[in-house]
Amino acid sequence: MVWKKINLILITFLLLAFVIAPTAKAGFGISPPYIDNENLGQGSHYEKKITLVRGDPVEDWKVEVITNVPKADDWITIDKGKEFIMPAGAQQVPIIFSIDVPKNAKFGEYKGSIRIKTSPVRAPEQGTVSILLGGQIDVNLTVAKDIFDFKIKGIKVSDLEEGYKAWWGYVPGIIKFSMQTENLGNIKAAPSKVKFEIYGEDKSNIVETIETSKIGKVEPFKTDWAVAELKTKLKAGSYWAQYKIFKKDEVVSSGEIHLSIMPKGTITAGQQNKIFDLNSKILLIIGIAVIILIGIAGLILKKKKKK
Amino acid sequence: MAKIIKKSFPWFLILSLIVAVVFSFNLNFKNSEVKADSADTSVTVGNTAPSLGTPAENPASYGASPTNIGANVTFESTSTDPNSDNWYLAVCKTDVINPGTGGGAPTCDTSSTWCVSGSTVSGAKATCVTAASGAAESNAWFAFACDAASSSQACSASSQGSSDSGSPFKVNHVPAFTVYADDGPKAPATTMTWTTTASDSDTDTANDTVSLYVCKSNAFVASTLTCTDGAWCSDTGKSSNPTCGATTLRPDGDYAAYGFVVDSHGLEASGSPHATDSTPTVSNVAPSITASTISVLDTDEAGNMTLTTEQAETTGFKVKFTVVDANSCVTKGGTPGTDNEIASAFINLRMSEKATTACDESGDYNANDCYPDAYASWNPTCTQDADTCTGATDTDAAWTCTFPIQYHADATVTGAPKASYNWVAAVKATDDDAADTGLVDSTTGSNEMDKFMSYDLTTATIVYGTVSANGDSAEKTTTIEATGNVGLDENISGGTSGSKGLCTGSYPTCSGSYIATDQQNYNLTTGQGFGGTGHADLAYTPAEAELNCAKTTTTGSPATANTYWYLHVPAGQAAGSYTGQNTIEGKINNESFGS
Repeated sequence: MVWKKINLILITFLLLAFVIAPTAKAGFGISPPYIDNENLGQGSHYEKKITLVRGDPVEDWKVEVITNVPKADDWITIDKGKEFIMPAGAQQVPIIFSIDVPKNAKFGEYKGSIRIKTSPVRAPEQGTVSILLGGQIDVNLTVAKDIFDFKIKGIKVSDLEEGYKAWWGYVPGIIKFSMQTENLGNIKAAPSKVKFEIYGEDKSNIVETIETSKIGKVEPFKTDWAVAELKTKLKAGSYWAQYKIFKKDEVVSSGEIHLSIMPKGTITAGQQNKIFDLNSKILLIIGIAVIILIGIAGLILKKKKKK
Repeated sequence: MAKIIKKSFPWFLILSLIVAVVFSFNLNFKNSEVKADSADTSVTVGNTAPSLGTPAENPASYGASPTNIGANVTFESTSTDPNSDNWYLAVCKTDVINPGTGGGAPTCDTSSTWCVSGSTVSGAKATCVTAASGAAESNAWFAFACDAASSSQACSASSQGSSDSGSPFKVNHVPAFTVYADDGPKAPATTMTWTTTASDSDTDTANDTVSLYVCKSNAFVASTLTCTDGAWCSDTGKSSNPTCGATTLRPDGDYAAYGFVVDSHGLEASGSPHATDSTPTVSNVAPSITASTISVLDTDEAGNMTLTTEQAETTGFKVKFTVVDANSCVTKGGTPGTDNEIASAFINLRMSEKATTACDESGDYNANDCYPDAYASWNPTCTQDADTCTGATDTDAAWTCTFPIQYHADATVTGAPKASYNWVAAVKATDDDAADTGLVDSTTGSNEMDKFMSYDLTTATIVYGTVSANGDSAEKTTTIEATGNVGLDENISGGTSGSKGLCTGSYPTCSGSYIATDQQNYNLTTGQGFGGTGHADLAYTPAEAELNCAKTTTTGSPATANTYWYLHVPAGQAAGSYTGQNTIEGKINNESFGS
């Protein structure tokens, strides 16, 4: 009787083990699962970051990257190479695809796909049909002539110090207006011009109108902050500005932004007003050094003439 | 001749008289020896009044420099007494003096005494002091020098001195000051005005004026007309009711402003409200957010928003914005960056297909397209950026909110069903007095949600079990769960390049017996059996199966789709345990989500 009870318990345990044993879930993803660029130029270099995602990275996986983009396969390189390991524990593994368009590439479309195949590093378990995971990256490339295009995705402006009189002249305050610019073209691009109409705190009167065309450019296909530096003579205070961002003669973005101009000496040294991208103290030192060098050169020339 | 004698006779007579006098006098001297008889002699030396030098006020008290009421007027002079007696300096209101008796001090007329000095040695300077008092501005005085002889004391004639130090001395009276007030509360960086009711009735020489000094503390130095800890403002030289204004500081709250009124001679008013604090108040104003500064950013702040965690939240997305507050970015007396004027902020994130008001309550939450802060299980963290508030005159500060998004949030890039939309944020900030910006929508600062192709397989193996030669296995199922934000198809492949699907030896070498790859079928419809309608043979080269697994729309319930598998064991197949690997590669369902 006792043995019957023990057997019953064992059988029950075994049955429960099969019932409760969790079904193993495997997950894999690609973000984003495409490489699209319709504005490549001859000789363009384009990079795309794609993240491989694993749901449960309990073991090392071997990754194989197989490109199938007719007539453009050899344009594509991967920073990690065509085979690499996704290590255990790593839920996200970013890889960089680089597209280098030959200078003599024909204009037109190049479509295809890239397969990502994964497999456990360990050998497959005997007697099983295991399922390996992978994914497809769609590729859609177009080579065209020079394309100048960008999109403004955001703006910001830093606090600045008011201008001041130095012994050599007036040092204006510098408004650093940053525009998050997505370069959609295949050449370096930036807004053509930025214009500010600045009002007092009560927004009733324009107190200053300034503009600049000197704006840092963004590399093709990149999103980065393009910075425009506008010189202002306004004193410390709180102001509002209506800004306009131009693409050639077209206003592509406009709006209102607040300016906080601080008294001289308020902001840390690294943000002080600068001339020619040098702060005033360094400029003074350079100026003195130049004068000394000119003086020495003059003396040397005189001595030579005497000889 | 007779005429000559007539004319010369008087002269002769005179000369004769002179000779007679001289002769008798000489006889007397020659005969100076007293004869035997003596006589007593005596003389009384009379008391003579001392002579008074030039009396003077020291310091001089005159129209341009009167003596403030209550202060002392000091008179001084020197005097020499012919009898070498001590002397008194007496200064009277009238030209009447009564010498003392028995060496005592002199007295002026009744109620007419300014002051009398002590007994002073002849030749030395005597001083006496009187307090400036009374309503009269101009006060005449008469100085006398009186000796201190033991008897028959005498006084000099009076003297009123000369120039500014001479009579009269001038008394400066306290200005009247009855009302002191500011016109607050006032908004930051506007003009606060202090008004007074104050005047001065003194008119001697020139009408006295009054000045107001509004000090930042209860510390005012009348002699230099300065506020020890700085002044808000001042209004000087007014005939009455001076008033002044100053630009208010920005941080809201109560400030100290002590009012001091002085007249044109630097004499402070007294009593209330002099040196009282009007406690001006800078009012709190609501902050604002400029829509153009709101940016919706990926985790690395560059490019589209990308999801990177399958079937879970991806963390680290950001919304950045700038809050403007006329009360400054720091509280009154606080430390920039620590004591923030803006106390809190929150965001509601949504796909732009939804209106602002359709995503601002807890019940609006939908992980596909709406993340309101009110939803308890979604918790963005909003903090003011470091080093963005530089001081009490800085009226803006940058903020960043960091938050997660679920794996199946709608993609808005080209090809996605929601490609005509993007992701935007509505932001609200509240200051330390509970005034807020209202909910402000982003304008230029929207972003796209990129596609995330991700899937789970519910099983890692296909177990065909025991299958007899020339027999088919039972139907086996692999289930894909959509764990990204796109619908899914699949590319299926298997076996080796030599078309060996399953083998007894080590896989993929497959040196032993093997079953060809195409002896495995798969079908998207259940129950079709091996080789049934709609099946596809497994091959080494991937082939697309139009799985059409829907995009997941419910967080805890991923969309699924099945693929059904069959194995045919050819006749004569060697018995044994076979091993193989099939590959399922997920891909975007292009029909629904573009390429």
